[in-house]
Amino acid sequence: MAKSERSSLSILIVSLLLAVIILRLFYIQLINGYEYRRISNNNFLKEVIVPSPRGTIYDRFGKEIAHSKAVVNLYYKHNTKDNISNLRGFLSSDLEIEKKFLNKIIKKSKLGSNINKRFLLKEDLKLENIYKVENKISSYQSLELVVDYLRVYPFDRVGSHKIGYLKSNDKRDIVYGSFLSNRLGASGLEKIFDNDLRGESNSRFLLIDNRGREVRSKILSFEKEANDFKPGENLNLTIDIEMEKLIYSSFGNFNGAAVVHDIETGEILALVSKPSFNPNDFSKTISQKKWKSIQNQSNKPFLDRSFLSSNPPGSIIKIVTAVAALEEDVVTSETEHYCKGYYELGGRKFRCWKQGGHGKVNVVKALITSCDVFFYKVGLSLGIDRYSKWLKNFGFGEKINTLFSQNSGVIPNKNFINRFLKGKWYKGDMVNVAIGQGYLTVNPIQASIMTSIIASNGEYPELKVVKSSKNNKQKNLKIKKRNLLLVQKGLLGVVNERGGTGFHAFDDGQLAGKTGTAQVISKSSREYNLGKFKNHGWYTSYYPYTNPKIVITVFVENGVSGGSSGGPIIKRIVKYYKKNYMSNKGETN
Amino acid sequence: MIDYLRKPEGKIFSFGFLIMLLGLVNLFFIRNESFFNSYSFKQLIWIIIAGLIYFIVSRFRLQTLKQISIPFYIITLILLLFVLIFGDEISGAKSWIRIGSFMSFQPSELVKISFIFIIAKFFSDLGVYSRSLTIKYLLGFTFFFIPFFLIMLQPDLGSGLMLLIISLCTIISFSYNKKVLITLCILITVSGFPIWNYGLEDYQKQRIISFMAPEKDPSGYGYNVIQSKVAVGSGELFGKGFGNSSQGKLKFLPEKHTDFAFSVWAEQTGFFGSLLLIGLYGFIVIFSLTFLQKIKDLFLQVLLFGLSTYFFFHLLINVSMTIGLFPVVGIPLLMFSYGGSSLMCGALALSLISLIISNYKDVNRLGL
Repeated sequence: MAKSERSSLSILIVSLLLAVIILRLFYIQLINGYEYRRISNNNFLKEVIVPSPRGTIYDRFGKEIAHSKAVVNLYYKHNTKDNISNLRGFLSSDLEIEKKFLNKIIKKSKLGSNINKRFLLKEDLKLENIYKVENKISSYQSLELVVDYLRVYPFDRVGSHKIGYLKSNDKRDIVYGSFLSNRLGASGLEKIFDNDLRGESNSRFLLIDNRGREVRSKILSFEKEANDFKPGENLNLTIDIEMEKLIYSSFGNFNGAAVVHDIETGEILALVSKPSFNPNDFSKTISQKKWKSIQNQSNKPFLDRSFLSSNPPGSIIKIVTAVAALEEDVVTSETEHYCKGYYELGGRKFRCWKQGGHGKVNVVKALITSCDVFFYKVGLSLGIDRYSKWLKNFGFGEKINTLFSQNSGVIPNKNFINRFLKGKWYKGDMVNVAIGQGYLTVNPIQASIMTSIIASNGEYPELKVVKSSKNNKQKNLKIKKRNLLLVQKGLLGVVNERGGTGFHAFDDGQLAGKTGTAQVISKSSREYNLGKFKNHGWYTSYYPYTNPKIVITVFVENGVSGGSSGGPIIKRIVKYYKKNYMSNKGETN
Repeated sequence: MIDYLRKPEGKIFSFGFLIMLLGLVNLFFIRNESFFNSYSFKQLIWIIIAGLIYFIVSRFRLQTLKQISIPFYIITLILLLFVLIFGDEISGAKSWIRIGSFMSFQPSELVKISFIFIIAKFFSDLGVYSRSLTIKYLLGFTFFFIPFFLIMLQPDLGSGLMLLIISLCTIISFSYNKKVLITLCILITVSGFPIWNYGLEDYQKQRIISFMAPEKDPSGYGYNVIQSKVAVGSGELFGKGFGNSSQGKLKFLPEKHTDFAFSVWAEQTGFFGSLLLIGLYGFIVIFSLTFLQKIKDLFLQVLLFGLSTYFFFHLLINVSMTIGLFPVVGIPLLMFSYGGSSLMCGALALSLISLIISNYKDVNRLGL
């Protein structure tokens, strides 16, 4: 090789190779620089999230219905300096973490894209296990204990429909940052007030070295802003959780719903639906299998019977029939009808529930004995137009102004008849609806509103479950006082007079109410009122008669009759109310 | 002084010492320690000694260089033997001779230079045999293989590789033959398989695998490459600023003072800083190579060429490994990385280049 050739060739090679390096630097630093800067930031900054506890839900007396309990969770981040096989042994034998799961997490955390991620190994460590980990944490860099908040519902299933539960996480590998306390409300008040209840977690960034240890010094002029820390707001309910507990247990083997509200304020004291679910089940990680099994239970534990289940009201609707008839001057206090045990209409016999009949009955007597024949006749004279107008006045078939979603039921008004019955409305339909069977369906809240209107001389209540200083604007149905008095007298008689259907709840003579039985339709008559085709029982009442304070409505699924199944429950509620509300300050003002 | 800097040798001097100063600054900002205990303080002392070496070497006559070639080579071989017997073992390799408590020395650094001397000496002294390629290759291989073998006994893969590259470049370019070059290429390719299976230790194989696909093994050997790329890349255009090398300071980067000093530099000064540093080296190498055609004496030609390759491949391989273009081997960035041996040898090479290009005109032919 000639001298000049050697010189220029080598300069050429050198220049070319330098160009390759510079191009590579250009690629790494300028084209991909932003991405590398991001990785570098995550590399030495360890995000430390301080989870903020979800707000507590209190009942009207300050009892905790839902609160956040501080728990300690164990996280794992891959670290080559640790002896994996020893660590695996410790975790599976001492902490009883499933081996298969453990291997999966360890394998997953080794992947390049997961190098900065921390994986959840175990939730809510027992105290003894926390000690065990604490002892090991200095020798295993890959372990980390993190404080989190677990949602706890001390009253389990009681009233859980309105409280709701949190969205559960069925994923098996949860990365640091997805905390229990960050979970969203999935239903009920937890969902409706989610934004208030959920706090904002605070995240700080610590400088760490390559072993994950915090570096305490200001060697780097690098700062990253931290979020504001804001614990969740508390929620104060009008609910009396102890009363709910009592109601829940009073149902015994029955399912159904019960509503208790304060007539003056509209505050709901108790809102119980049974069967229900245990919201604690969803607070922790739940397996897909368990979740499915709860969802698929045949008695529908997720169905809120107080709002979402709408059934024929049975005889409790006679309250509206009576008011409508009196107001529309179809009957007066003097009007009497004769009940011989049945009413014949177009060759078909419409039976009274009492086989021998009630004889001569006026409107008060008819309410007390729940005489069907009286209301057949009244209903026919009233007609569906006037009747459905009054049903609407009482709030049936309409959505109630409330936070909860609801099944508002149907009333057979013109619209309904035209749409579903081809405009045909027979007298037979009318007599059925007048006693609460047939096309009419209502939910327990609507029944409570109806009774509240009677008890408060026509005031339409605005129900609420969350305490607020806001005074509820009530509208008045403007029912004539003398008519109201007749109905009130009737309702008092239901519980307290001989022949009254509500005697099961008789106590101190101050309870007034109405019972009802909703027929469950079965295909064969042999199944009638048996097993799951047993009739549903209704009992709606108010207390005390002379100065009405509360309305109690009980709906018992397959309870056969409202009086026998609902009466004892109401009796216990009244007893509880007297003891806890009236003995001290309650009565005096 | 200004006059000196305007001369070719002055340019080499100023660029070389600028690299050393930048290296010192880089080192200074890696850790905030008390200065007198720090790496940068030690490095400063080395730089002062480097200045002394430069001063002393610049007094040499060119003839002396040729005269000391053989003893120089032999002394370095003895040092290599010495280190195998009495050397300190640091991270699995016996590469260091401890001198007092402050200094330790790595003979394998020096042998790269002494090899260039011996090759230059014999190639220029072949006389009638100068046309025989066989003799050239045989001699070249012998001079290469003895130190190479001793280095691989330590073992010091980086220095061995560097010696191999310098030898190949020097020998082939001064006894160029197309057939030999092609045969060599084929031989390397074919021998790859048995070397892979029998010649390499597991950890060495692992390094090569992790070089090929660092993302597959981010916390093992590939870790270094990934973290180094993160350091370099995160510097972006202007860098994070001096003292803000998070990758270096928080120990994500291994060997950040020595092998990965460039990564820290690139992290702190960005693309501009990287370009500046590479430009300084590039200038020294290319500027030296332009003198090749002007020098008539073969000894000086081989010496200058060898020293240029010595600089160039340290730069090339060191930077390449920090940006994932080459497997991670222990090769420092000459004069920039922390460490007495590489700084001294770098300074020595720099001084020799400077000496050659300042005096080559005086001596047309170095006959003895």
